Amino acid sequence: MKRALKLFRAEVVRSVLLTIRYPIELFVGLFIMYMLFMGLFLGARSLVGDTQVLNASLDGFIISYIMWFFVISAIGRLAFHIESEAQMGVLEQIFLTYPRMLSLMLVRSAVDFCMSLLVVTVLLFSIMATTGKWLAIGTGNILQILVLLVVTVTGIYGFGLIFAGLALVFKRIGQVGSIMQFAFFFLAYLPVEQLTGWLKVAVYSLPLTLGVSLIKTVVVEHGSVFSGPESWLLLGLVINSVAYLLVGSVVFLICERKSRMDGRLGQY
Amino acid sequence: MAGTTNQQGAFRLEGLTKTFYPILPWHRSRAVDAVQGVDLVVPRGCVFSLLGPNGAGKTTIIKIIAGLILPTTGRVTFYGKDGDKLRSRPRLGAVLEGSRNLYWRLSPMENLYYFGELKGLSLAQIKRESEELLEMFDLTHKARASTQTLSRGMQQKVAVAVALLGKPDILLLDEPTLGLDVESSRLIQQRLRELVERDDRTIILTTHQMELAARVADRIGILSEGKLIAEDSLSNLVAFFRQQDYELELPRLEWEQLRADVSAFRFTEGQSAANEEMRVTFHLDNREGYYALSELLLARRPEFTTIRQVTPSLEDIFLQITQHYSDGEDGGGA
Ligand SMILES: Nc1ncnc2c1ncn2[C@@H]1O[C@H](COP(=O)(O)OP(=O)(O)OP(=O)(O)O)[C@@H](O)[C@H]1O
Ligand SMILES: [Mg+2]
Repeated sequence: MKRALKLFRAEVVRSVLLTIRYPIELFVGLFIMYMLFMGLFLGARSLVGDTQVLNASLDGFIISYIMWFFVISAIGRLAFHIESEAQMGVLEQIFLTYPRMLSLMLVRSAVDFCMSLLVVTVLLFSIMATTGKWLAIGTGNILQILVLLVVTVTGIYGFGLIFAGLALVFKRIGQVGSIMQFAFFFLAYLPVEQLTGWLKVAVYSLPLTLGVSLIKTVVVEHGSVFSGPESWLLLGLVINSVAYLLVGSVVFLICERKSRMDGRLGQY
Repeated sequence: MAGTTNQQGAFRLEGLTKTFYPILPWHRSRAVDAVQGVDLVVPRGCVFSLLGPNGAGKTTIIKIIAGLILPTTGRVTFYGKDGDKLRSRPRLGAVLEGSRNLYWRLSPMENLYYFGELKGLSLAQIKRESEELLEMFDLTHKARASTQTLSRGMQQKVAVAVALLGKPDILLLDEPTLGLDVESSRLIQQRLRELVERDDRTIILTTHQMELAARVADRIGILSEGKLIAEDSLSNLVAFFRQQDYELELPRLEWEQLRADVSAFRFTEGQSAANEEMRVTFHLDNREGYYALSELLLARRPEFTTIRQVTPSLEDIFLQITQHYSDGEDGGGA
C-alpha cells in the first residue's frame, strides 16, 4: 500500500511537471475541445432552427460530450504516452526499475483521471457559461454523479489498457486510436434509450454507453440510481466496468509478454 | 551460506538462447539468432566486462538479465533464485540506451526523483544521493535545467547517475561511458570499483573501449555471434597470451639477412621498424611454435639485441580471440 502511494505521488509529480512545463498543449487541447463543442452546438442550432427543442435536450448533449472527453484521455493519452515512451527509450528504464507494469498503468490511469477531472471542470464551466445551460448538479445528486463517473471511467480506462498493450507490441497505433476515439464519439451520442431488445443489450455491453445514459437519468431526469429499478442498471454498470478492467488487464499482460518476447519494449 | 551464494554467483545464465522472429509469421526465415547457448556465472562483488564486435549479442544479453527481453530458451537466476520471480529479484540498476533512458522534458533532478521513487527509496535518501551524484559529475549547475538542453555527454552522466541511485545490488551497464570525456569516464570507473570493493555490488558492463575494460574489470567475457568464446579473469587472459607472444629485436643489417626466412615463417605475426632496430613479433600458439622458432634461430644464429615475452594489451587479446574464432568458423564451414 505504501508502495502504491509512493507510485501515485511520483506519477502525480511527473504528470503535473510535464503539464505545467508545456502548458500550451493543455490550453490548446482545452481550446480545441471547447471550439469543437461550440461548432457542434451552433451547427445543431442552425439545423434544428428551433432553440426550444435544442435547449430541451442540451444537457444530455453536454453530458455526452464531457464523457467523451474521458475516452480521449484514456485511449489517447495513456496509449500514445506509452508509444512515445517506448520510442524515447525511457520505457525500458521504467520497466527495469518497476517491473509490475500493469500496476503502474493502473496508477497512471488514476492520476490521469484526477488530472482530467480538473480539465473537465474548466471545460464544463466554459460550456455552461456560453450556452447558458446550467446542468442540474447539486448537493442532492453529486454523490450519485461521482459514483457513476468513477464506475464508468473505470471501464473506459480498462478499455484503454487494451490500446496501451497494443501500443507495446505494434508501436504505431496512433491511427487506430484516433478512429477508435471517433467511434466512441458516436457511441456517446447514440440514443440508446430508444433501442430495444438485443441491440440494446449489445450496445449497453460496450464501455461508456450505459454510464452516459445513467448519468443522464440522474442529471436530466432527476432520477436516482441508488434505489428503484435503476439500481439494477447501476449493478450492470459495475459489472460492465469490472469486466472491461479485467479484459483490459489480461490483454495488457499478454501484450507486455509478447513485447518482451520480441524485444520491443525499446524502439528496436 | 556465503559459500553457496558464491557458487551460485550473483547471477547465472544457463543455456541462454535468443532468436528474434519478425512480427509477420511469413517472414520467419528472417529470424535472427542473437544469443546461442550462453552459460555464465558472475560471482558477487565483481565487475564482469562483456566484450564483442557489433551485433555480437551484448545488449541482448544485458536486456535478458534485466528482464526486458525474454529468452527463447534457458534462464537467468539471481542468487540462486529464478529471475522471473519479481519478489525475490534483487534490485537492479541499468544504463541501457544512455541519454535515451531519461525524460528529456524533465530536469536531471526531477528524473532522479522520479526513478528514485520507482525504486522505492525514501525522499530523504533520494535527495542526499542525487545531490552527491550530480556534484560528483559536475552537474549541479544543470540540476534544474531541462534534460534536452544538456549536451550528449551530460545526458549520459545523468543516465549513469539514475542507474547508481540507491546502490542497486546488480548494475547492468551497456556502454556506460559512451561519449564521455576522459575525466568523467575515470570518475565512473572509480565509482564502480568502490561499489564492488566496498559495497559488494556486482556489475556487468559492455564496452568497446578496451582500456576501460582492462582498468575496471575483474573478469572478461568475449562474445562473438551470440556465443561466449572466452571467459576468464583479466590476469589469466593476459598470462595466457603472454606465453604466446614473443618479440625479437635486431639490427637492420641482421634483419636483411633474415628477412626471407622470417617472412616465410608461419608463426610470424608482424614486424615494425624502431630506429636502427627491427622488431619482429611471433605468435606461438602451440609447442610446435617454440621448437620452430628455436630451430630458426639456431640455424641462422642472428646477432639479435633482445628477445622477450610481450605483455599483450586487452585489445590484442580481444582481436586475437575474435579473429581466431571467425577463422575457425570459416574453416569449419568450408
Ligand atoms: N528486438 C530485436 N528484434 C530483432 N533483432 C534484434 C533485436 N535486438 C537485437 N537484434 C539483433 O540481434 C543481434 C545482436 O544484437 P545486439 O544489440 O545484442 O548486439 P550488440 O553486441 O549489443 O552490438 P553493438 O556492439 O552494436 O551494440 C543483431 O543481429 C541485431 O540485429
Ligand atoms: Mg549493444
